[in-house]
Amino acid sequence: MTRINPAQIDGTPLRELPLSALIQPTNDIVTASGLRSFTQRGTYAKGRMNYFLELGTASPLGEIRPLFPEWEDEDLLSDGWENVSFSLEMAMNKVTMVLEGFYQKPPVPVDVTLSITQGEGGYLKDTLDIFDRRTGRDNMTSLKEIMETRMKSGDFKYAGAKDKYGEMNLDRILKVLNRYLKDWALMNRIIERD
Amino acid sequence: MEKLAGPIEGGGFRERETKIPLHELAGKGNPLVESLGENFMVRIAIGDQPKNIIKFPKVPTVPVEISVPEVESQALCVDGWAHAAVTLEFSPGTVQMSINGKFGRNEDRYYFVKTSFARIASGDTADDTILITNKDEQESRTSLFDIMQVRLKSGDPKFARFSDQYPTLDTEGVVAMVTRYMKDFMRTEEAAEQAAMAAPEGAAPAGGAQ
Repeated sequence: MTRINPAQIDGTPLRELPLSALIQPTNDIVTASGLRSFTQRGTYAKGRMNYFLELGTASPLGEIRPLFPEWEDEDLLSDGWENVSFSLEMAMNKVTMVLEGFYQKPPVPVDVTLSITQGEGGYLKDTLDIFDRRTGRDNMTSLKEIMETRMKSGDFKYAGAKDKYGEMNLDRILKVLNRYLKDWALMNRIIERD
Repeated sequence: MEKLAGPIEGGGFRERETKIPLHELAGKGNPLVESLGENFMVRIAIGDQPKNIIKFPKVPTVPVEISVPEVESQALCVDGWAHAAVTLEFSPGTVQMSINGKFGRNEDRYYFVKTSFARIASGDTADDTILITNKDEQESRTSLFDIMQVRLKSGDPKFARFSDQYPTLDTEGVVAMVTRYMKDFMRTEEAAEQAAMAAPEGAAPAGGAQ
């Protein structure tokens, strides 16, 4: 049986690649599986990781090659995250990254879902939902909006100087998200009454 | 960027057999179990939200070449399953098949069904039990081996297909057989209860102590 490295495509760790780099290998993997699409999901809680292949109601006709970033616990569970599910939904010419989990910076407990769909020509979807468990309200934004936020000085508030929307690797997306969540929790410590 | 080569020269996929006998499936799971160094499982959820999942303790470093049994959730729900999970747990040289579910979509009559069937790659059976618990928590036990022996007056097997042989049972066959058995079990229990209710007051129940 051929050995593969799920963390690499051409020697670059998957987490250091942008989603756009996953389109071609995704097409190959989906074709090889004989499925129309499937989802790879990693669930992370302190000291525990599981990896799932979610196939819908279909049965694969061929082999499935895992292509998934090797996250360490501390990569995903640092800085307020209690548990995280990271998934890659793979279909022809389309990869959707979904990061969801419970984030807590006392007194702020939120459920976070970041969903980005990469198509052949760029992002097709980009939503960030922060559900505040105290108020039961969803706060919708996007990675694009977060990245465009600037400080008074004109510098980007959450994005790095070299970060370019649509071309960021998975590591950088996570870092920008974490910066934003930390700030969001700080700004929303006090609940405003209507 | 290096393109991943297709698994077959020229692309496409290598078509896989379906309805693989469980002892053969145990052997087919071995490369993954060896590579992972741990067990893994295939789970098929039947019910309102059917789905097929393969669960690993870590990301495999070899291609996943394991057959996921083709179980028709919708047909099984029509047959009477409210929900169920069919699980195949792969360990070195062994596959443990289990069905855990609720049979009966009527809240007045339903049964919790728990089957356990372990097959070793050599073909031996390590476990074979079917436990049925009704809503009053009364238990009834049998096994796949036992229900395969049940025959109609004609001599034909009552629950098994003609092609079913105990040493070469496959997942699809086991699920179908347990479903047929549960349909019959529920009908029989219902008929017995109706007969008991219809019996004149004070009369001994049919088959009861004299």
